[in-house]
Amino acid sequence: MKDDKERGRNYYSISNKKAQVTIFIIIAIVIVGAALLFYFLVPKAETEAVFDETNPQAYIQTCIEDKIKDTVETLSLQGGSIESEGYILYQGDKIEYLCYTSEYYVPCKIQRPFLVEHIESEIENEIEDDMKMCFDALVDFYERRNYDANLEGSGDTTVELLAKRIKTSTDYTLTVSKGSGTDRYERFSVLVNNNLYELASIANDIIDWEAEYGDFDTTYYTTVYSNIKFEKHNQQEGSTIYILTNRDQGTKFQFASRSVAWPPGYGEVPIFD
Amino acid sequence: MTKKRGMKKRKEFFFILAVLLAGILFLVLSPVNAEESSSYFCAERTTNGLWCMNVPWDEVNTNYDYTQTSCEATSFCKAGTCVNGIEGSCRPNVPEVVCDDARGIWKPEERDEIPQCQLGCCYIGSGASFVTQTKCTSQASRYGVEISFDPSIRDPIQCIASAYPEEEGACVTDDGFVRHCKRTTSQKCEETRARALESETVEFHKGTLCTAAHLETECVPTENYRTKLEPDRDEVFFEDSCGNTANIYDSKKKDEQAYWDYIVDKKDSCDLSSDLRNADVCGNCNYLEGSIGKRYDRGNSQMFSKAPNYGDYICADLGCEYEGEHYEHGESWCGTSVGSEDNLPGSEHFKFKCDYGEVNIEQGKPFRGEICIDSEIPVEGQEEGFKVANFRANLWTKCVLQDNQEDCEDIQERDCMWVNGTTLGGIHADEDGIPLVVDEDGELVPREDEEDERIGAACVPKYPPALWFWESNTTRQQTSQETAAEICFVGSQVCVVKFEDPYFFGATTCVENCHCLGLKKGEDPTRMKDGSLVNIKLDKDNEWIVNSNKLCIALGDCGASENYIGEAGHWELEDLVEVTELKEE
Repeated sequence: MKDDKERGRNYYSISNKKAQVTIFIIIAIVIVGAALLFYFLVPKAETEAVFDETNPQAYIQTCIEDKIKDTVETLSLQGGSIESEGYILYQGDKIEYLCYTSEYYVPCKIQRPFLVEHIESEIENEIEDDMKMCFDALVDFYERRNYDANLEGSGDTTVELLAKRIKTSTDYTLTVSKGSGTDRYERFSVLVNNNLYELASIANDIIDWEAEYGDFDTTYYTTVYSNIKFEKHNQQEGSTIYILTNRDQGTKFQFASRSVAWPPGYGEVPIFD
Repeated sequence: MTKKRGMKKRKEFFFILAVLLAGILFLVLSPVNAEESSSYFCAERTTNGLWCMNVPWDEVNTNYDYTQTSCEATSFCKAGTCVNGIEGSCRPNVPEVVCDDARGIWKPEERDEIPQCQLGCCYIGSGASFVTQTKCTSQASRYGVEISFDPSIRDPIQCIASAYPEEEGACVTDDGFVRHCKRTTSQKCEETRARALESETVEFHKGTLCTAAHLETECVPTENYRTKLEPDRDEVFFEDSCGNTANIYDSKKKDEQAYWDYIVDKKDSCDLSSDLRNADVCGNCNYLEGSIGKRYDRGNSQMFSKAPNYGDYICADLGCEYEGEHYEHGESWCGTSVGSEDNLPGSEHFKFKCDYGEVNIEQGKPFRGEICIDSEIPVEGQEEGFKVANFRANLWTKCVLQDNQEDCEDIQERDCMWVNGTTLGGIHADEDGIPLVVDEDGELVPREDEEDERIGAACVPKYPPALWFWESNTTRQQTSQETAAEICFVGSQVCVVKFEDPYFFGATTCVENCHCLGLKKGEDPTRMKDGSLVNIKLDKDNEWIVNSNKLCIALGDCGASENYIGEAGHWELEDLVEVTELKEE
């Protein structure tokens, strides 16, 4: 009897285990299937959601906005360049020198005289291909909806750093027609809220001072610009890292300078007397 | 490195020459090749991407111009002013090639000498900035506002003070059914009028709020006295039912109709106490005095000691708590890293600043090149003033060259201190290496004879500098290391310890300067068979060596010590001592 009970218990136990495994397999298949569906369908659904036939401008804004934001973030941490040249490595970031001298006791020489224009050009170069892809996709959307879509213009992208925002424009003109109706869309522009213009302008002020006199004291600026945090980190070999942070947005612009550096000890004799 | 020669037993007089080396560096470093230091080039581009630098040959990018002279002497890298013809900015100290590359106009003159770079006052909206006329025009498009330029104003402070913020008022649009209202400037109201429909009337009421009873608009004070913040303003404001900004939040006046009728100036609004104890009822925050309007956050007790009586915003305290002490926003004070009291290797001077509720730390120039000075600005009616700390250069470099106390302690010239009873054997010694002594005029002079019992003195840095003493491969760093060795060598001392064997029995007896070897006068060092001496002291038990090491440390990162985090250096005291045996018949 006892053996039968034991056998029965084992049977149920094995049977239960089999059932459990089956359930687990089914659950796993459902999860994987759901994940695949999510992967393939959701991005498409999102893209579809922002495409409005009557508002191609909104599509372009959504399509390129993140790329602009990412580009701005990257170059803001690297002194205004995507590929830093003449940089100092600071906490993993390649921070470009906007002003530099290899010597001791002398003011630095400005390396990026027109920082705002340089940043604009960097963003333009970085997003140009993505911008073209966005317009190609836009045309594709219209064509899939049986529109005749025609894109004119060279696709040149212009970026302007403005007060509190970044404006990106292209010279594309889009003409879409369906049946007898024709719509023409031009002056595509994308606006991104960002105060990089203000931060870069302050960086220019700091660099002007460093290029003329050397060490910049942030005290006055901290009282004038209440919404900006100024950080200054002196490095051992004479460089200074400046980090400007917008308190409201949390956006940063960091750059480096090496000006009127002092050597340890009595110092070197100037290279050229 | 250290040499300890055996002392041979002799039946003659003989000397032991004990030398304390100020820094071990001197022994390990080789001098920089003179040719290397002179082989600097002006590189139009360096290998690491910088423009127009005077660098050693291995840093020259040979794809660009270069020449073995200073960049200032070249045509391509001469520095001048770079003018941006479109934006109107003028940048100083820009190499010509860099300016050309950026499509600027390069001029050899200084900024002040170039007409396009003359600054004036640019009025942008209700603000002003001190820029060039071209820059002013370009800012108009960047800010999207109208500008005017006054070249006669030549001072930035006068420029900012002369800005004339346009007075605001209520811009009322009557469409025949409802009287809508928006608080704005007369110019913007005029624009609204231009866009208005024929059936609408638009009127501007200067200095009046949209909630004014006599305007009879749809806007009224909100039921729960909602508050809001304004961009670029410090204060907390009441908000009306149309979303317009009303007067500064003052809970005592919330039900006074007059306070909702006309715009009240900041200076006529409620007084916020400096300790913000009435912040719950008054929103007249002032950034320069340490408060700014922020959304109330119950979890942040440092910024918000109490909740506002009405609305979600309150004047936040921008002061800081640091090591149990309260600091006002903007106050700064000096601090040091661990080990700074003894100026140990690695220690630095810092400035702490309370900024927007957090303490920011700024380091002075590295290698203790700057020291931090504390001061206080008196505040009327308060015991404690406003704390201000500033860096200034550590003027230590000429200390060791001073040979009298007055010059040494001249605080206008240098940061040094005069230490009696010691000597900088590296420089304050006569040609035989005998240390100088202080005469009755306080000057360092050679010792007259062996009977001369006057003591020496040394002028050492009050704030010993850090030195670049560790190993490195680059030419520039080697130069620094050599400098460190030279500085430390100044602290080297020679102590001549005299022994004699009066009975010619081979037993040596110390008769002079015995303390330098940790012996007493008349004491004999025991010599072993291998020639070594067993009872001389060349370690921390030798007071002369310990004091000499202290003098070395006072010169900078010299001698034997721990670093700022308590790690022992590579060298022990005995490593710094060289004992040489001489003899004299």
